[in-house]
Order: sequence, then structure tokens, then C-alpha cells
Amino acid sequence: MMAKAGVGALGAALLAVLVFLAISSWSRQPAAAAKPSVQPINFPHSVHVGTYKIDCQYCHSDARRSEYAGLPSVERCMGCHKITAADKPEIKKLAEYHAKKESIPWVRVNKLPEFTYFPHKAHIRAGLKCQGCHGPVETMTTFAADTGPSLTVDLLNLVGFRPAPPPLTMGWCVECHREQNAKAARHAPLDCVACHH
Amino acid sequence: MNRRDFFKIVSVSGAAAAAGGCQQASETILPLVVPNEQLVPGVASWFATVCRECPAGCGVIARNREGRVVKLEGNPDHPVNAGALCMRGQAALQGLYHPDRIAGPLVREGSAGFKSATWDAASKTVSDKIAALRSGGKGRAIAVVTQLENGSLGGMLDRWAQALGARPRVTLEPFAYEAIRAANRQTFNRDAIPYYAFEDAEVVLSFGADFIETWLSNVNYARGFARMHSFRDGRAGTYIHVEPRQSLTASNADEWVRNAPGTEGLLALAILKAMVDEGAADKRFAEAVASVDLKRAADESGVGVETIKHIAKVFSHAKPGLAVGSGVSVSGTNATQTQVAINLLNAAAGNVGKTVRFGPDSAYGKVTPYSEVASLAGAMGSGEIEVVILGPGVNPAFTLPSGLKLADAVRKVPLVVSFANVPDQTSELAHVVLPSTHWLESWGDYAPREGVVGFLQPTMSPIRDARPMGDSLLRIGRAALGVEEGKGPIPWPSFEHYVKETWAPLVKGDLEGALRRGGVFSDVAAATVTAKVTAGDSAPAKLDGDASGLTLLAYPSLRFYDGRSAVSSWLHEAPDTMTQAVWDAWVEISTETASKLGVVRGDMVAVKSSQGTLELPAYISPTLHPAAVAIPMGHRYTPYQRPRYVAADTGSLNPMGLLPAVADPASGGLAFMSVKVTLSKLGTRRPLAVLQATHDQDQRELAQHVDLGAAREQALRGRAPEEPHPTLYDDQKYPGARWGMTIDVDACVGCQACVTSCQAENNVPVVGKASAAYGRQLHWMRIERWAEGKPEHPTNLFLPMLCQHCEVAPCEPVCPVYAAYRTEEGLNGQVYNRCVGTRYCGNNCPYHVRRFNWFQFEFPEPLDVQLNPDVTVRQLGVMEKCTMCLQRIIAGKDRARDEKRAVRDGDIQTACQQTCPTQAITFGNLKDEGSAVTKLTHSPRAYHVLEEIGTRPSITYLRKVVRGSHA
Amino acid sequence: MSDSRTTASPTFADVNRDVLRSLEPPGNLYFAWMCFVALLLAGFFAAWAGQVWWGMGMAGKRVPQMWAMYITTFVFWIGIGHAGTLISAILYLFRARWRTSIYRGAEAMTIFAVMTAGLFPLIHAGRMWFAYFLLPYPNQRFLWPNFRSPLVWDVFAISTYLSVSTVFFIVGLVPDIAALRDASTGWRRRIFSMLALGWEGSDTQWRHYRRAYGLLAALATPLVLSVHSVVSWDFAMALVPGWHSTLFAPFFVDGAIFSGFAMVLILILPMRHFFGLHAYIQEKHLDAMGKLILVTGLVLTYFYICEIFTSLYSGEHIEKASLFWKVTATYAWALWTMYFCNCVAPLILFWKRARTSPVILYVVSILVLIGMWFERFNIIVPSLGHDFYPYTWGIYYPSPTDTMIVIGSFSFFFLLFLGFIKLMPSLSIVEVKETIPPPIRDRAHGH
Repeated sequence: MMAKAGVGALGAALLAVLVFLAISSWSRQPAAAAKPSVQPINFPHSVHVGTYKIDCQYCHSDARRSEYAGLPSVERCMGCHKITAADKPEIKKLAEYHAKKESIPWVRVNKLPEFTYFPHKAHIRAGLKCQGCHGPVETMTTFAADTGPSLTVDLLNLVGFRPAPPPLTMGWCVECHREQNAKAARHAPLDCVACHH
Repeated sequence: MNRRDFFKIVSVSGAAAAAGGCQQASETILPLVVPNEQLVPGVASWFATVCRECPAGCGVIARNREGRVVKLEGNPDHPVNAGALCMRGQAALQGLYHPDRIAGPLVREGSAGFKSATWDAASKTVSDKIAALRSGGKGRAIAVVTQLENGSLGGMLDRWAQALGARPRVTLEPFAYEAIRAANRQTFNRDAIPYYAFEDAEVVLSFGADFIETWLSNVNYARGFARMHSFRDGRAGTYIHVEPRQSLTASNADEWVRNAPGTEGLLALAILKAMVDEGAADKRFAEAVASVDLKRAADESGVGVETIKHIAKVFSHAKPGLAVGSGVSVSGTNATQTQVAINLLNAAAGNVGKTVRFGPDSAYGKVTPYSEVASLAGAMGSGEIEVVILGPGVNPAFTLPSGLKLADAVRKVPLVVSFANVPDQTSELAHVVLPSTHWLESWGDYAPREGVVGFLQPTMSPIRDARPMGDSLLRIGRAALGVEEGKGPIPWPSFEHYVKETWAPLVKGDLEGALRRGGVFSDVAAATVTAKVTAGDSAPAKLDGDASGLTLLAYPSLRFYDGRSAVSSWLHEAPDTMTQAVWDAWVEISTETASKLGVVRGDMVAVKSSQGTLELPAYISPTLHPAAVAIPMGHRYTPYQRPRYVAADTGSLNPMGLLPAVADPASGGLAFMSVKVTLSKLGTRRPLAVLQATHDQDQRELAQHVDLGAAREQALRGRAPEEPHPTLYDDQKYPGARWGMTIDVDACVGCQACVTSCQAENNVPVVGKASAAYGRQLHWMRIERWAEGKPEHPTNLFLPMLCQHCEVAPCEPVCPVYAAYRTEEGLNGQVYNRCVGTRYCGNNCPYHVRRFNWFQFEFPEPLDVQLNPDVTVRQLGVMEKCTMCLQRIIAGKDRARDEKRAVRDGDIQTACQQTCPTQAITFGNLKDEGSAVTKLTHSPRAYHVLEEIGTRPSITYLRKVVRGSHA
Repeated sequence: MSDSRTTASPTFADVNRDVLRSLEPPGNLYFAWMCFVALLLAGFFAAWAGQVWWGMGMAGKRVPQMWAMYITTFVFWIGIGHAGTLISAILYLFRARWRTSIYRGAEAMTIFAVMTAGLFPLIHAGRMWFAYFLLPYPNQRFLWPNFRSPLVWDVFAISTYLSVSTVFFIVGLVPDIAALRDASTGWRRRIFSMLALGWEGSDTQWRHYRRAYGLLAALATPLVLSVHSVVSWDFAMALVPGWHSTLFAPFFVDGAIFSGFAMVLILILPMRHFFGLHAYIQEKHLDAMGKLILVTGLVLTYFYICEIFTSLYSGEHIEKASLFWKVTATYAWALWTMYFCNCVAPLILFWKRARTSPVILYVVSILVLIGMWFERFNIIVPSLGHDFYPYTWGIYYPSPTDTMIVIGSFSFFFLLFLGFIKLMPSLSIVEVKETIPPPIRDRAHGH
């Protein structure tokens, strides 16, 4: 009885150490992305992508030529919204920004740590769909991303389970790259320094 | 600091941009309001302009990311530098993003010092004063002083001065080489500084001309020198250098002749005499050297008669040769006579028109001679001047000899207007500061030599509230004249308009193209000139101070020029190649003197001249002439560097503080070699931060050399069969490319441009003096100087050392977490975010090229804006090292894939390779048999550093080829 | 007390009394020591915190001495951790009866020393918060440690050694703890009964206990050799001149035992003095340990000679340069200190009087510890300071931070040990009893 308790205590101590190390490591990592976020203007992707079937790259036009997907200039928004739904309160906000010649302080949702270099360009060139990484955007009223390395996943691994890596984590990227190389006979790089340099 | 946050910078106002890019994890992203096709976030755009760090006027292309310039490169189309850039050019960004940059107009409030003011208020104070002077008919009391501006700005300022009846503009360049002009007037009857075609010379004979460091156009001439001298190009010409001190330039000579200070002219004549005696020179030159006696010359200069004869023989046999002179440190009161003697040498050897080309004359010919600057100073002192306008880049209070008492003179001027954008010794004295835009933010043009007009265009929006000097002056001038825009003698709404107007005839409609090329370039044919033979005058330089003293050699520094580049911490941290010292200045003392004084390196020494005293740490040099003492110019610190990087210095580090205001009578040029100094030991110490522990290779053959004859023979025989490395493992397979590099030790001149370029490209932090001195510098590459032979007369080998990307890398197996590992393209990868920091790899690297982040090194705002977004900023506690510019490799492959082709040889250039003036570095794919790098690896001169350890580096070195006299 | 000192063989009653006396509430001297040690420990943690916060630069490390006093002290403590298992396991298997009175203390020392050593890889790492990268566990990055790296071998070797010797220690304690349990009351009784793992002292239990103990001893024995061999490979596997030598494994193991015994003496002698355990820790014990120190010391001297010989005989310029530099240049004093402490000082133990004199033994032991610390220092710092590449040659200067941490590691160790001697019987009651003649009943009744 008591003996078991002794052994248990020892185990608990060991686990505590591991948990401490893991936590302290995440405390030093760049903040993971914001969860469903309050944007300055309530922008429903579902309407634009879902209802009106606007191509992602119409607004995120840098994706095919740059590391970043880019955001539409206020001009481009107004291009449609001068007429379209101009009376809606949210669009009025947009018009204000445009009038004041100010840029809209969008809240960043997807954010990789700074030591990770992700070029959208190469992935668009490879013909990947945006939804592959960003989820079913066409259904999202507020854009959200569940991302970043999660402590729980590592701890689950620690005790022997193998949960699928969460989106936009390294394991997830690697899995896809391997899959592509195996199935599509592509040359998706698996060198660490391809993304970490 | 987070590279992703560069999104923020793509926003409307420059001020907002300056604030950007320094938060831990930014939450907002700012898109452009109006799309800008030139600016795609994440894609670099390049703008061509002209480097204004010195009058050489090299072409520059600026890499602009998200609206901010992050890297400078030489403009490949520019005739002066053809893609190369020196360390000062590379470090110009540190001036652009200088934390001390003046935030806006300043007006002095009595004794309270500066107070910030609005542009209108500040310019009003100036225009009112000027208007008052004009109405009083005292326009002559207005003086305009700028650096060498022979382009639009100069033109406009002259129009401005004329319109306001001011004195003719004074262009102030501390190193103006008046002696060359004066001598050319005498000998060739041309008041000009010609173009020296080093590339076409077989023998170069330099009398103290430091053409690899600062002389006239160091990048251009270093390139030319490499063409004539390096074995690679099959020329293997000979280079003889005469100087009392072994400068970096001298250390590249096949034969360095150490002469007594001030005897260059005498030697030149002696050599000419020897040529005449040998019948190697035309008889008409006999009269020039009638007075010269070889024996006497030998005794006075300390150079043996045999050596003189030998030099004469070598020089006269060259077809053609080239003799150059008038290096700053050796120009005394006899500078002109010396240069005349050198002219005669060139004439006698028939080099004029071949390697000495009048026609494509240097812009230096247009500098106001020192004597006129001195008279202006006199005018200020006597109160004749009431308004002085000081353009950016001029800092007379620092760069002119203290004997001139310029600071006092400036204090006598009622209104001093400075256009400096970083505070300096002269702007401290100003009453009004109207910060001018940095040249990377400005319009303009500059013609480094006839036929070459380089265009300046803004490469980004001003990072601080600064305005172009031209704009400010136009506004002030019109206000003073009481005319509005579009009318009167200076009608242009802005300086940009003036520039475009003057360009119209030049560009013939194709402004776009001209801007893309970086200017309008044309060849100017060499004019034919005839030499007038005059009797040579071999009088030594007149030296002030007691005869027992030592001659002071104040020499311009490759790192800081006259001090205008000293704002850059990169340059302070890049070692001086000869001494390997960083940060503080030093006084170079010969071994003999040192033992007399009983000082060792780092002991503080008081250097006393008739003008004053300077306290500097001693650097003991076995090579310096015992009768001389040398101090580098240009060392100064800006506020943010102290105490962040270096402890408060012991007052001034500037040798100009020791110089009397003595001019060379014939040319009116400042006599830099004009004073004898006495040394005394102070008893205190200020240890120098010297990075290289020893210059002795201890038989390890790190830097290797081969005799010229042997090299030629090997070249004919081809490569000796290489014995295979025995190994238990099978060789690594490379599915794609295998990247490799060759470094030609024979071509490397040790100019440190690569080191600075690497620092700019790879976000290498500045660590400061203390850390650097304690072996904690973070440079990914270093230039080592290895000395062989007699310590007082060594052969120097320069060895650029960086990560060797070994095929059997000792650092890889020891890393417990695969942070150091072998990539499938033959690189030695370092994964920062995986690194735990055991530093095992650092111990096990026999080359010690791995760097550790001992602290979290900061990039003080706004320097963080310069960080390359494609390279991770490393956290404390991780290892880092050369990646062979992985980001460039990735970009190159990306470009190739866009164009649906394989990567071609030359597509990818590393930062160090790109900027190298002598193209000593070659990078490419070792699996491609046709690539330049592969060919060079098979060269007979190829070797690996520490080959016997069997690390099998991907970097191959090519042995230096030494001429017979050295072997 | 006095009688136990005079009578050659104490009775069972004496044993219980004398040994359990060491568990009585401590006196002022004890508390004074505790406070002093705790103070140093506070400094240790402060220094460590500072280093984590501001970076490795707080410690005096540099290029090329990327390793210095931390690894020195790490290897030192690993070495100390050897004697314990050696005494308890190997000597047990060889039935060396004299071990009984000292092995408990030695085992405790082993565990504490290894625990202390275990701190240093963490202290040493530039980003200790990522130290768990070295543990092989399936993670969402699909990344594993590099099994080619000696540092990973260390992780295994040391953790194995720590766990095995801990188990061995606890098993050895069981019967005594049972005795304590019976002697104690209240919360103490609770704890002791937890640790006693329900020991009754029945014959079956004794039989199993003996077998288990024997097996564990057999299991522990190879570890004594393996651990320090593995640690030595941190150096032997590297390229650095002065490290790259096949000699290192035996060299280190011997040195470890050497220093281990010195440490045992340093701990045992005061206990013997203050708790009056002269009856159990007798001169023959001291003598035996003196002999061991002497022998290992001589072997070590031999290794030193080999080391010098190999680098001279190698004909390898760089090796020789490194050696000559060590012997003559900046760090020569450290080298000669080491030679004196490890080669000369123990020679006095040829003399029987010295082997039995606590004072001399104590002095020699301290010298040996100093010498052994400097041995590791001399392997690491000077070798790195003068290796392949002349450009970076240079001198390492300790900083306040790493000095404090090294000193603090000793306080960490002594804190644990001081705690131990008050909480656990520092002699094995059971085994000591085995060594003395059982009491004769009628004589007991005679009075």
C-alpha cells in the first residue's frame, strides 16, 4: 500500500520535471496565432469566397509571386464596394478608411514563428489549394486558424499516443511533403534548412 | 525582432515604417492604401544609385524589401566598380539607419543647445539673415561648403550662390591630391588627375599611393591591380611599393621597399637616374637627374643602391609600367616635386597615354585646393563671414588639421547652417541644422571621371524627417530673394526638378533606361600629352618640431576614409587587416622605439607635437620604419556607440589634432607629413581588441604559397593526381547540386569588403569592443593575415576563413540534436531553432568558424529595419555560422524554376563573392563539370586548409603565387 | 560510547544505540553547517538564474574555450559518483567484509554526486529550456536525437547509472528502515513504513532480499566501468588535440575511482569522529581505503606518462605543440598542481602510519580531489586554448558566474549529504551486526 505510494511519488516527480521543461520551452517560443479574432471590419470570407466565389488570389494577389500572400489594398476593396453594399455599416467603415487614406489594421490570424520561412509562391506554383492549409475558408464567417505547436500533442506523444499533428505545425508540413514526394513524385524539400535559415 | 513584421513597413508614412519591425509578435498587418506595382511585399526591388561615401563614386544597386533598403551591392554596369563595392560602401546602410540620425530641423537656443523646430521656422531664420546680408550688399559674407559635388547639386548650389551674390562654393575634400594636379601642370601642362590604367600595366611602382585602401578610387584600382597582378588572369605582373610603413597596399606588393619618411621623390629621381645610366631612358631626361647621386640617395633613403638599380631595371623593362604616388600619408611640403619626379619616371618609361591616361580625368581635379579652404577659414576667423552653409559629408572641425584652428574660426561666424543628417564635430558648432536626406534617399548625380555620369535616385522614402539640401536651399534662397516659385534665378520647385532638367540632354529621352543602368556612361579617349622635362628637385619634406622626434605618418583608414564612415558600427567591428584590431584607434610604433620606451601593445602613449598631444594605446609593429610613428585617421564614435559598444574613449582619437596647418607651396595641398612627434609612456593601459592571436602559422600551412616559376610549370603540367581519402564509409550521394566555393589567396588583397557584406546580408549583430576582444565576435567570415619570413620584412598572406562546409564535418556527429547536419546539397546546415547550445560543435570545429550567441544581441532602432527578412535573427544561446548565403541559393533556384530551367553557373552569388573587388571568391555547383568553381577546384594551385585532418571541405583555396624575390 | 570505543567488538545493542544515535536531533554545529551550505546554494541559484536570463556570456566562455569549468565540474562529480557503487557492488561480490561499515555512506555519496553532476548539462546548455530535445520520445516534429553524439550517450549512461544505484541504495536500506519504523512514531513512522516496503524480516523476505541484492550488485558492476568510459568519450570522440585519444576510457575510470575514494574518506572521517563510530569504522577500514587510493593513484601516474609519451611519439606537430604549451605556458601552474596532487601526494600512503592516521588521510584526500578537478580542467581548457587554429588561440578567464556555480555545486552535494546522515542510518545496521559475533544467551542470563 504505502510502498505503491512511494513508487507513485517517484513517477510523479519525473513527470513534473518533463512538464516543466516542456512548458518553459513554450514560454520562450513566439506567441502562437490569435484564435478567432476581432477584426476592425467584420469581414466574412464565407460571403466573398462561398457566396460570390471570388478567387482567393483576386484579393491575396501576392501569393503567386511572393513569400507572403499579401492583403488587398484598400483601393481594391473599394473597387467593388464603391457600389456593392455601400450602405452596410461595415462597408461604411471601409469607406472611412479609404477616405482617410489609412490602411486597415487587420489582426493577423496565421503566423508562423520567425525561424520558419514559408514561401506561398512555391506552393501556389505546385498547384496547391489554399484550403489545404487554411481550412474551409469559404465556410468561415470569421477567419480562424488552429495552429502552432501544442503542448498537449507533445505530452500525448510522450505517453505513447500518436495524435495527428495539428495544422501549420512542423510535423504536419513534413507529412504533406513526404506524401507529395511519394504520391505525386514531386521534389518537396525535406531539408531542415529549406524552411529554417 | 521579427522578420515577418515587415508587413507593417508597407504602410503609408515613412515615420510609421521606421517604428515597424521591432515588436516581438505584431498583431496587426497594414496593407497599402494604394497598390504600388514596384512594391510587392516579400519581393525585392532594386534601385541603382551612386555611392557617396567617398569621391570615388562607385555605382550601387540597393535591394529594397517592403519599402526599406536592406542591402547594397555594386552596380555591375558601372564602369568604375563593375559590381564590386568596398567595405565603406557596404556599410553605408549603417549611416542610413543610424540611431543618432537627426530627427528634424534643429535651432540653437543660446547656450541651451539645440531645440527642435519646424522646417519653416528653421529656414526662416536662415533666409532672414541672408536677406538682411543681401540688402546690406554683403552677399560675399555668405560661404557655401560642400563635399565634392560635381553634378547637379554642385551646379545648382553654384547658381544659388551666384543668385545671392555669395562667395564661390568651396568643395572640401580632406584628401584632394592637389600635388598630382600641380605636378601635371608642370610636366604635362594639364591641371587634372588622369585615369591610371593599372589593368594594362606589367609593373606597378607605387610611392606610398595606397590605391587598395583610399587613394583616388580604391575599388576601381583594386580591380585593375588584380587584373595586372593575379596569376589567375595569366598576367602575374610585378608590383613594387615604396613606403616607410607596411600599409595594406604595401603588404600586397611583391617587393615592399621601406624608405626613410619623405624620401620618395629622391628615390624616384634616383631610379630615373639609374634608368638613364642604363640607357633605359631617353637622354633628354638626363638633365632632370643631373643633380642626383645614387650613393647619396641610397644613404638618405636607406634603400640600397642595388635595390634602386634593380627597381629601375624592372620598371624600365615593363611594357608598359605604371608609377603612382602622392599617397596621403607621405605627402609633405615636397609633395609636388615628388609627383613631378614620378611623372618623369612615367614619361621616361613611355607609360603616358598607355597607363597614365589624360582625358578620362578624375573628379578629384575639381576639388578646391586646401590653401583656399585655409583662406576661407582665415576669413571666418577675421569675422568676414556671417553665414556658413555646410553640406552633408563635410566635417571640417574633424578632418582639417588643428593647426588651422577651424573650430574657433567657425565659432566666430554668426550663423552656421549645417545639413548633416548625423551629428558630427562640426554640426555641434552649428546654429541651425537642416538635416539633409541620406544619399540613398536623394536625387542627384555624380561624375567620378570624365564620361561617367552616375545617377542618384531615392531608393526609399526618408526614414527621418529630412529634406534634400537642394530643396531646403531653393526655398531659403527664394525667400531671401523675395521671389516665389517658378520665377527669378532659381525657379525650380524642387531639387528633383532641377536634376531631371539637367538630365534631359544626357539621357536623350530614355530616363527610365538611364536610371536602370545607373547613369550615362561613355568612353573618353586618352588625350596625347607631351612631358616637359624639368630639373628634378629632391629636397626632403620640411618637418616641424624638433629633429630628435619621429616623423608622424597620419594615414587615411580603409575603414573610415576621413572619418565620415566612422558612424558605422560594422566598420568599427571589421578588423583593420594589418593589425587585426577593432574599435579603438592606436599609435603604431616600431619595435626599436617601443623597446626604447619600454611599451608593449595596449600601453597608453602620449604623442606630442607642436600642435598638441594625443593619448592612444600603442600597437608595436616590427615593419614600421624606426624613424616614423603612424596613426590611422578617421576614428571617432557617435553617441549611441558609447557605452553600448565601447568604453568612453580617452578623448580624441584623431591624428589631425597633431598636424600644423602647413601646405605644400607648389600645389597648395595640405602637407600631411609635416610634423615630428615625441612619444612618452603614460603608465596606464587601454588594451586593444586584436582578433588574431598570432600572425605566425606555426608550420600549419593554413595559407600556402608557391613560387611563380613553379606555378607556371604546374599550370603547364596540369593538376597533380590527387590521392583519394581513405574512408570506411561510402561517399555521400548528391541527388541535386553540390555547392562549393573556391577562394584565390593570390587575388585576395585583404580589403574586408566581404566581411562587411556578409554582416549586412546575414543579420550579423555588432558585439562591441569587450566581447570582440574576448573572442566573442560573431562575424561569419574573417580575413586572416599570416606573415612569413623576416618579421621586419614579412610576406603577408591573406586568408579569408569561413565555414568550410566539410563533407566529413567534425561538427555534425557531435551535435546531440541534429542542429548541425549535412544537407543533400553538400552544405553544412545549422538549424537555429533546433540548437540547444551545447557548443560541442564549436569545440570540434578545427577552423573555429562557428559563432555562438553569448547574449541576446540588440539591433538598436532603427537599425533593425535593415535586417534581411530572408534570414532568421538568432536568439541567445544558439550556434550560428556561414550558410553560404542559403537564402540566395533558395532564391536562385526559385528564379530558375519560374523560368522553367535548371540553375545556371553564375545565377547564384554569395554576398562575399558579389562584393569582392578582385573576384577572389567563386561559388557554384561542384557537380557541374563546366562550372567555374569546378574548373578552379582542379587548378594545380588548389589546396584545402588543414587537409591532413580529412574534413574534406567544400571550400578550396588557391595558393598565393609569390615572385622570386620573396621565395 | 566510551565502552564501544574500547571493546574490540560491540554488541548488537551497541550497534543499534550507536548507529541510531546519529539520527538524534542535530546540534548547533550541524545547523551552522547547514546554514552555510544553504547560503552558498542560494548564490548558486542566483548565478544560474542570471545566466539563463542574460545568456551564456555571463560565464567566462569564449572561442575557442566553448567548454570550460562546467564540463570540468560535471566530469569531476561523475567521477566522485564511482566509489559508492564500486564499494557496495564490486566489493560485495568479492565478499570484502570491510566494506560493510562504509558502503552506506559511499552509496549515498554516489547518488548525490551523480545528481549534482546531472545539473551541469542543464547549466551548460545555451538554451536549457530546450534540453528535453535530447530525450528520445516520439514528438509531433518527427525528430529524434542524434545517436552518434557522445552527449546523447551521456544522457543514457548517466540516467541509467543514477536509477540503478538509487534502486540499489533503496533496497540496501529496506531492513534498516524497517528497524527505524519500529523505533519511530508519528509522521516519521508513516514515511519510514512507506519506504520500508512492508518489511517484516521473515526468512522468505530475507532469502529474496539476499538474492535481489546480489543480482543488483551484479547489474551495477558493469555500470561502474561504463559510465565514466562514456563520459570520457565526450572528449575521445572529438578532434581536439589532447582529447582525441583511445587512452581516455580506462584513464577516466581509474581517475574516477581514485577521486571517489578520496571523497568517501572526506565524508566518513568526520562522521566517525562526530558520531563516535570508531568501533565500526576501524583502522583496518581506513588502511584498506588508503591502499586503494595509493594503487589507483599509481595507475593514474602511469596513464599520465602514457599520455605524454603518445603525443611525443605521435610525431604529430599539432599534438606536440599543444602538449608543450600546456606544460610551459599560461596554464602550466594548473598542470603541475595536478601532477603534485595526484602523483606525489598519495605516495605518502606507502607508509602504514599515514594510511591509519585520519589527519594525513584527510589531507591527502583533499589534495586528491583538488588534483582530480584540475585534471579535468587541464584536459578541457588548455587543450582548447591551443588547438588546430592559431588565429583563435587564447586564454579563458573564469567569471563570477561560473565560479559561483562551481562552488555552489559543492554546497548542493553537501546539503544533500548532511540531510541524509540525519534522516537515514549512515551505517548498515544489519550488515554491521553480521560482522560481529552473535551474543551468547547464557552469558546474557549470567547477570
